[in-house]
Amino acid sequence: MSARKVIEILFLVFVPLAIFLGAFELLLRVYLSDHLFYDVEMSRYALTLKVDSPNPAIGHHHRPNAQATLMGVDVRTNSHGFRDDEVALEKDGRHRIIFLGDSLTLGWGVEMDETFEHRLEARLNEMRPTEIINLGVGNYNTTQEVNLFIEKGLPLQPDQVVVFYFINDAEPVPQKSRFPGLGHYRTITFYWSRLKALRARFTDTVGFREYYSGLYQEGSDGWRACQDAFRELHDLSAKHGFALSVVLLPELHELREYPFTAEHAKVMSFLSELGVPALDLAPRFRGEENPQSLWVSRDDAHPNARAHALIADYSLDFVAGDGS
Amino acid sequence: MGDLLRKYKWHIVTILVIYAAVTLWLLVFTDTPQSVPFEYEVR
Repeated sequence: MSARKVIEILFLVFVPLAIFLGAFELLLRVYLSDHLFYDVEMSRYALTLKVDSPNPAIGHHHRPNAQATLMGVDVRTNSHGFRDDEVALEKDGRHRIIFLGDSLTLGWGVEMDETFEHRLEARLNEMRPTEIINLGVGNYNTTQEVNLFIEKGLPLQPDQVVVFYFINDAEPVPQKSRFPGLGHYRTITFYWSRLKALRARFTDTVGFREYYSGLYQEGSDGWRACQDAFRELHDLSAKHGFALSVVLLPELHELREYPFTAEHAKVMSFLSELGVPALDLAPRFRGEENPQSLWVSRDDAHPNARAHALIADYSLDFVAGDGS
Repeated sequence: MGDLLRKYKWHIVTILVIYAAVTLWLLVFTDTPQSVPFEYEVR
C-alpha cells in the first residue's frame, strides 16, 4: 500500500471523528445547560469537589471551601470539607450530633435546607438546642465513614453519632478512576455511561438486586470490613462517651415488596449483637406506590426532597432519643 | 488537506451521518430509569 493511500485512510478515520466529537461536545454542553445526566453530574462532582486523601482508608474526601452546581443544586463545603454551615471546633452548649453516611446523607440532588439533616436539625432544636454536623461524602462505604470520623469528627467532640446506612455501604473501598477524561469531556462521560447501560441490557451483567445482595454473602470482603468498621466505631463511642446509633435508609427501586429485606435483617442483627441501636426505615416506605416519585431524576434513584422529608419524619423520634 | 477534504467530502458527510445516527440511537435506546447499581467515578 502506498504512503498516499495510508494517509488517505488515516484522514478518513480521524478527521470525521474529530469533527464529530468536537461538534457533539459542543451540542451536549448546550443541551446539558438545561438538562441533567446523572453520570455527567457525578463525574463533575468527582472533579470539582473530591480530592485524594493521604489516608488510604478514606480514599477521597471533599475539598474545603469549594462550590459547585451539581444535579441542579448548589453544593458548598465549609472549611472542614463538610456540606454544612461553618462549624466551630469548640462546642457552644448545644447538643452536638454528627451524621455519617454517603451521597444520600450528603443530600445529593437536594438543596441543603431540604436535606433530612437540616430538617432534623430544625425539628430537634424545637426540643433542645441541637447542632447537627453532616459528614456525608458521596461514594463512601462504612470503612471510609468511620475513618473520616476518626480524622475529622472526633476532634469535634460529638455527644451523639448517627450512621445513615445504605445497602451499598458494604462495598469495598472504591478505586480511582481509569478514565481521566470523565468530568472534563461530556462526550467521554456520555459514551462511558450509555455503553455501560447498553452492555447491561444485552449481556448477563449483574443487576442492582443481585449486585447489592451479593455484597452480603458470607466471606464477602466488603461486608467483613463494614462490620469491622462498626466495631471500631462502637469501641470509640464507649471510649469517648458519645451515643451511637444507625438508621438504615431504603433502596428506592421497589418499596412495596422490598427486595433487600434479608440484607437489612442481616445488618440489623449484626448491630443488635454489637449493642448498637438501629432503625430500619424500609418498612416505613412500604406504602409508597410509585418509588420513582421519590427519585432525584429518572436516571438517578437518590432520594429527592420529598424522600428526605419522609426520612426526617420517620427518624425524628429515634434520633431525638439518642437512638433509644 | 484541502485536496483531501474536497476529494472525500461525501465520504466524510456519510461517516458523520452514521456517527450521529448511532449516537442518537444510543441516546434514545438507553434513556431508561436507573437500573444498574450506583456507580460513579471516585475522583
